[in-house]
Parts: sequence; C-alpha cells; structure tokens
Amino acid sequence: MKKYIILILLIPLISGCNYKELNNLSIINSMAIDYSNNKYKVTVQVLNTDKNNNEQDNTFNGTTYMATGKNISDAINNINLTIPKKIYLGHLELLVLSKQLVNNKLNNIISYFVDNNEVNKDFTVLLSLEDSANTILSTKELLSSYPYGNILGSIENSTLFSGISSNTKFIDLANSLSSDYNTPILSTVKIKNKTLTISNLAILKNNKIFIYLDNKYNLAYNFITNNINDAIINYKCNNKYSSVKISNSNTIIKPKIKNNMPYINIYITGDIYVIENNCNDNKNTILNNTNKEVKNIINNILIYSKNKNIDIFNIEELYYKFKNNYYNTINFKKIYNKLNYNIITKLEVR
Amino acid sequence: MNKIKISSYGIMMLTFFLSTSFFNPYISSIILKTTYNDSWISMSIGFILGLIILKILLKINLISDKNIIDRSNTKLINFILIILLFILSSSILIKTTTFISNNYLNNYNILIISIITLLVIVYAVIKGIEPIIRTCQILFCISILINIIYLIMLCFYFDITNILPIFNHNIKDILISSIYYLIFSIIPIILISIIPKYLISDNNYNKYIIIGYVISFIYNVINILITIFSSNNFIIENFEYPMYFVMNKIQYFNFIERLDNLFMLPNIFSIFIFLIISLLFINEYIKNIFKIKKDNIYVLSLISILIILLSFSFKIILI
Repeated sequence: MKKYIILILLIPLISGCNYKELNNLSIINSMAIDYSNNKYKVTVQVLNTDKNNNEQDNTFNGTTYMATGKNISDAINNINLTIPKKIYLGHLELLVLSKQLVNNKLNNIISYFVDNNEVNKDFTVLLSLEDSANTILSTKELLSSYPYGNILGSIENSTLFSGISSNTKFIDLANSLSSDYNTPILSTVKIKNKTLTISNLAILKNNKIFIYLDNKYNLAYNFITNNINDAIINYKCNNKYSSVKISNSNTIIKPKIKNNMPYINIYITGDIYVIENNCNDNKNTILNNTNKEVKNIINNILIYSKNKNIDIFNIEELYYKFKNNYYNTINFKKIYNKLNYNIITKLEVR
Repeated sequence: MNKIKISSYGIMMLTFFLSTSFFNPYISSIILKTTYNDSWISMSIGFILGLIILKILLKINLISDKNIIDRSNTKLINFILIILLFILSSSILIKTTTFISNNYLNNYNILIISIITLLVIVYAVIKGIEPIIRTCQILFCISILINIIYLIMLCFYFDITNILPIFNHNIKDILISSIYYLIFSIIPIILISIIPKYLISDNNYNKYIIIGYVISFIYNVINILITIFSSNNFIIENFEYPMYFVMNKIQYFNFIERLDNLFMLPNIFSIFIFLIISLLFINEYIKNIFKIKKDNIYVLSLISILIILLSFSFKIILI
C-alpha cells in the first residue's frame, strides 16, 4: 500500500523538466549595440524557426528588431514587447559594437554578457568603423542566407588567408581588457559600395580606441600572433612584383635580457610556395627576397608599436611569465619603446 | 552476524567520492581565485598535511568494531559532526540544485529538484551501506572514464605557459588555500567511520582509504591544472565554476560541442554520494538517540525536510 501511495505522489513529477520549445523561442544569432545620448540602441537578428521545411530558397529567413533603453537589459526588454516569443541569446555568434559605445561603455557590455548565464561566451566581437552598429546588421548581403554569416565568413577568411583582420572572441576581449599585460584588439567592419567590408584592426588602450592599424601592419600582426594559415607576401624585383605564399608558419617570441634591458628574439618558420614568379628568380633568390620582405614587414610593425608605445604583441606578458624576477624590477610600459629585438627567419622554399 | 560484506576497493572508492565532493562546488573556485597558477602548490601542501591527519585518524581507529555512533567515547564528536553535517549537506544541496536548475533543467524550480534528489538519497539510505558502496564502484568507473575523455579532448586547448610564473603568490595566500583544501578533503572522509569493521571483508581498509585519498588528490590536481592551462585570469575571477566554463570550450568537427554538462557529471556524483552518506550518518545518529531499531521512512523524511529548509534558509542568507 505504502509503495502505491509513493507512486501516486510521484506522478506529478514525471511530466518532464521545464524544457523550452524551439518554436517558442526567438533565437538571436547576431546583435548590434549603439550608444548615444545616454541611451543604448540594441538591434537583434532573430532566426525564423517557423519557416516551412519544404522551402528550399536560399534567402535570409530572419528578421531584425531594434529598441532603445537605459541599459542593454532595458533595450532587450523593449524588444521583447515587439516579439511574441522569448528572446534566447544562447546561440549568439556575432556582436557588433559602435565606436561611441566602445569608447564610453565597454565595461557595461562586458559585465552584461559575463553575468548573463544564457549567453555562450564564444561569439565574435566586431567594431563598426564608420556607420552605426545597427546599419551594419541591417545591411542585406547576397552570398549568405543570413547577413551575420557573411560577416563571420569574411572575418574568418580575412584572418586565416590574408591576415588583414583578427577574429576576436568575446572571452578573449574581456580577458585582455581586464589584464595588465594584454592589449585588446578588435576587427572593424564598414560599408563600402553598399557591401560589408572588413577594415583595419582597432587597438584599445584604457578601454578606449587608441589607434587603428593600417592594412600593411595587419598582416604582420597576424603573422606574429600565429593567427594566419596562408600569408601572401609580395616582393619587388626588377620593377616588378613576385608573390609567394607562406604556409604552416609559426612564430615564437623568446624574451631575453641584454645589458639589463629587454631584448626579444623572434623566430619565424614556415614553407614558401611560389605563386607568381615574375622575375624568373631561382630558389635561393626567392628565399632571400622573401626573408627580407618578412623581416621588413615585422620590423615596420615593431617600430610602429614602439613609436606609439603600445605593446600589441603582449610581450610584457612574456616577461611576466618567463622572466618574472627581472620583470618585477622594471616598469615594462615605460621602457617598451626601448625594446631591442632580433628577427630570425627559418623559411624553406617548397 | 550480518552477511553483508564490503570490499576494501569499495571503501577506497567511497573515500575518493567523499574527498572530492566539496572540490568543484566550493574549493576549486576559492583556491583558483586566491592562488591561480600556484593552486597546485597549495593543493599539494594541503594534501601532505591531510595525509598526516588521515594517518592519525586511522591510527586512532577511524574504522572500529562499532560504528562511530555506537561508540561510547565519541558522543561530543558525534554531536559536533551532526551539526556540521546539517550545515554542509544543506549548503551543498542548495548550491548543487541551483547549478542543476541553471545549467541542466533550464531554471526549473529548485525546491522540486531538491525533493527529487533527496527522494533518491532516502531510497539509497533505506537500501543500506552495501548497495551504496556498489553504486560508488560503478560511479567511480564512469567518473574516471569521463575525466580521461575530458582531459584528452581539452588538451588541444592547453596553454601550458599559464602556469608561469611559479611561486608568484605570497606564502600566506598559498597556506590559506592549502588549509581550505585540507579541511574540505579530510572532513568528509571522517564519515567513513559510520561503517563498522565487521562489514568489511578484509583488513586492508586503512591502506585503501589512503589510496582513495591519494587518487582524489591526483584527480583534483589534474582538474585544477586543466583549468589553469585552458583558462585565463578573467575566467577565474568572474565565473563561479571556472572548471565548468572551461569544459564549454570543447568543440570538434562542428558537432561535438556543449559537452560541459556531461563532463560535470563526476562532480555531481561525488556530491550525491556525500549527501547519501551524510543522511545515513544523521539517520544512524537519530536511531541511536531515540533507540529506533529499523530504518524509518518518517525519520528520513523529517531529516530531508530539515535539510531542505536549512538549504533554503542558506539561500535567503546568501541573497
């Protein structure tokens, strides 16, 4: 009898957990946040889950919603008033921030996404260079069924295959903002001829945009930080240009101390594949020219960073980790512009 | 004489679960926040001190002919232990149910999760120590397997340089962390004293308790190192469960992802075993005080209700 009573009491518990039906959710895949006049403007792109499965067209099947509020939660609550389903941020893949927001309220953004349990923290963060973040997200693209897919694809390709951007994830940005040794870097996007274009890298200092790296430095940045798969290097020969591709590249920075001053050795290894040999160079000449060009672009970015006194390769962190005793005796930020370096290339022509 | 016999291996696995039960919900986060990359040093100090204390406890017969409740000279210790157990089990219950509600059951009512958890625990207590130990043996194998898979899958995300610079924290912080580790890895092991000697099939149990404690240390230190290697200062400072956050990173072939909930299971197993043994301990104590001979469902229900009430009062205090 006792067993039956327990069983009857257990019946209300077997209805299953409080699951969320997909059709009752507004799945947000990308978000844009602008800030002006002390107000946040949040734009979200909602995936349309009600779409008929038989529809095979490749057009964008999402909708963009926008609302303003005193803070991000308030703005999202206001969006909720216009969407019949609950907003779900668990699949957020892209966040576009406006320049004004980054310069004024970056900490609020970080704190909102860190504290929000529902959000997956592995989404890409981009900075809108010229237009509002809302405009970036509202721009319709032809190649991808979702506009955010186009931006993400461009970011990944431009990072891995041409090295002109950097796919900064939210958690890395948050870490570098809170760290004393890391420099936060964001990729930027702008609208050029009605098309979304990945632009220069933005370097942040004291939670504000400090400088934008020129395209010529972006490649070197990704080269040194090992964020690149194939780097295309063009070098000049006999008033023409030849092209080589450097694959499987690996850069190691070794911190040293020379005359009580920081001194780094930068080792670069990789395979050279000839793409365009317009000067009919032999293997040795190609190797020499490529070595010279690689050293040149890395030298340029190091001089640039020393002139601006901003440690974009997080060399301070290397000294903190590997030369901690020495690091504790110096003020690295003050002597960064006196940093000496040596570039050693070990490239091979394949 | 009772026919039920428990192997020393079973005791070893029980020691393992008890010693790891407080690690993930409380200790890992505290140790990482205090000593970050030097956590393994503080844990090692805590482990060595714990080993000495455990040897002393075993010398003074942690496991004896009678269980600790029935012994005549342990009345004060038992009373203190019962108070401590009520506090520990209710705090760990509210912490675990909140975690389950947030990450597994999508903000489901914590009270219902607590009731269901305690129903299973009461059932296990009614069944007795032998099925509990057998459950430990099965859960131990599953836990080790899950941890090996987790280690292999996460090793591609490791940045071993995160452990540098070594000895960067002051000795005071390292010692505080080591004392945390020592207290929360040793106190749960005292609960083993609820098992009387005659229930164990061989006499090697002291050796196996130490082996269980060593395995739990290795397990915990590996988990801490994995967290250090695959996280950063920001994750450690800002997230309540850094180990859980790190597990979220695992992503292979675009379809093996979000394995964090699966990899957290060993931690939930150890909390579950701790709660079972706590309830068993409290139940034995009440039976002894009120001279009740058999397990009584009403007594167990009353203890469970008390634990739930206490856990919710903890929640209110914490809020």
